[in-house]
Amino acid sequence: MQSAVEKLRKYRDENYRSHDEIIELWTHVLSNRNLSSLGDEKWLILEQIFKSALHCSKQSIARQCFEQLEKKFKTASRRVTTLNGMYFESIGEFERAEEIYSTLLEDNETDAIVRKRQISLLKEQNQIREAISQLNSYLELYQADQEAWSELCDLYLSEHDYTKAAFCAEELLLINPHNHLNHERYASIRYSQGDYEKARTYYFSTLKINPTNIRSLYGIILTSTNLALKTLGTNSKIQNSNENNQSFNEQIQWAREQIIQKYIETTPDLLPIVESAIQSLTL
Amino acid sequence: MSEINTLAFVKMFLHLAKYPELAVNGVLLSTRTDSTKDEVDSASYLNFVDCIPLFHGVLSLSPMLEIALSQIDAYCSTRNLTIAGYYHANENYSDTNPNLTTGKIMEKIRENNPNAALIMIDNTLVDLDDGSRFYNVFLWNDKAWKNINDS
Repeated sequence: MQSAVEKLRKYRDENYRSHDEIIELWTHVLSNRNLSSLGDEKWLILEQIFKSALHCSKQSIARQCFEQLEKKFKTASRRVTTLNGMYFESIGEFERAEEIYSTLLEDNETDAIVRKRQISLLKEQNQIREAISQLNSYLELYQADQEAWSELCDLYLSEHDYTKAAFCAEELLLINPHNHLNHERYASIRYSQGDYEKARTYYFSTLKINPTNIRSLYGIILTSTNLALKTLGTNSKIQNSNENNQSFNEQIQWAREQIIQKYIETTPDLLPIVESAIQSLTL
Repeated sequence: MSEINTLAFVKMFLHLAKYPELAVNGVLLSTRTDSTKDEVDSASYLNFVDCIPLFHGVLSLSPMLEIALSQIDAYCSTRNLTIAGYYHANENYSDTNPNLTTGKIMEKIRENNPNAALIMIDNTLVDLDDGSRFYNVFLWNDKAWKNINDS
C-alpha cells in the first residue's frame, strides 16, 4: 500500500495525467484498506481518485469517494461543493452544476476555480462564443493566468480568429518569454495569418531558445520560401532583392541541414521522403 | 460506397484512444487509380488502406499542415497511394458536425483528389468491443459536404 500512496503523491505533485492507472491503484490496492493511518493525506487521495474517476467515466467510484469527503467536511467546504458540481458536469446535468457554481460565486465572487468551471460548462455545451466572452471578462481580472490565456487562444483558433489568438499568444509570451513553445505558437499563428516576416522572426527566436525545435526549422523553410517568392513578384530594387534572396536561401539550406541531421539520428528510413518534401516546398 | 482495411481502421481508432480529451485529425490513404483525378459520380468506390494521423489539440494552424501534407504527398508517390480521406474528431463529445477547419483542410485535399471523403468521428459510436463504423462519411455534393447516410 505504501508504494501506491507514494505513487499517488507523485502524480498529485507533478500533475500527471494517468487517470486509468490511478483508478487501477484504487480498485486493486486502496479501496479495501483503512486509509485513516494516512491522516490528512487521506482526503487529498480521495479528491484525486474522485477527479480521475470522473475522467474515466467511473461515476460510482467517484460517488463513493465523494460520500466519504462529504461525511467529513459536511457542506461547509467550498472545495467539496465544487467537486459535487464537477460530478454533475460529468453526468451531463449542466443545470444542476450551474446552480451549484452560481451559489458558490454568490458567496465569494473571487473564486477563480469556480469561475473557470463555469466557463468549462459553456464549452461542454458547445457555446463557444459565450465561453470566449466569459473568459475575456475573467482575464480582465486575472491577467497572469497562463492556463486561461492558453485556453482563450485555443478557443479563438477553433473559430479561426487568428488576430485575437495572436493577442493571447502575445500575452503568453509576455508572461513567460523563455518558453520556446510560446514563441513557436505565436510564429505559427502569424504564419496562418500570412504575416511571414513576423512568423520568421519568432521561428528564429524559438530556435535561439531551443535549437532542436523541428517545427521552427520547418517554419524557417516555409517563411523564407514565401518571402523570397514575394520579393520576386514585387518591383523592388534588383540589388536589394538579390541580397535578400541570397540570405533567404542560405537560411533555408541551414534549416534543411539541421532537419536532415535530426532525421539521420532518429529515423533514417524516412530521410528520402523528408528530402523530397522539402524540395517540393522550396520549389 | 467505401471500404476500410484493418490497418487504417485500427490506426485511426488508436489515435482517438491516445488523446481522448482533445480534437484529433488525420488522413486516410488509398491506392492510386487512373480515375482519382476525375470527378466522382455517386457510384464510385473508396477503399482506404492506410491511415496517417496528423495532429491533436489545435488543428487549425497552417504551417504544420502544409509540411505534413507535402511529406504525405512524397510518401504517397513512392508507394502509388493517394490521400483519399480525412478524418476529424471534434473536441466536444457530442459535436459531430463539419466546421471551418474541416472545410479548409478538405478544400486543400480536394485540389489533389476531388473524390476525397470527409470522415467525422462520432464519439457515441466508438466502442472497444464492437468493430463497426464509428464515424460518418461525408461526400462533396452540390457545393456542400453531405452525409452519405442522409437521403
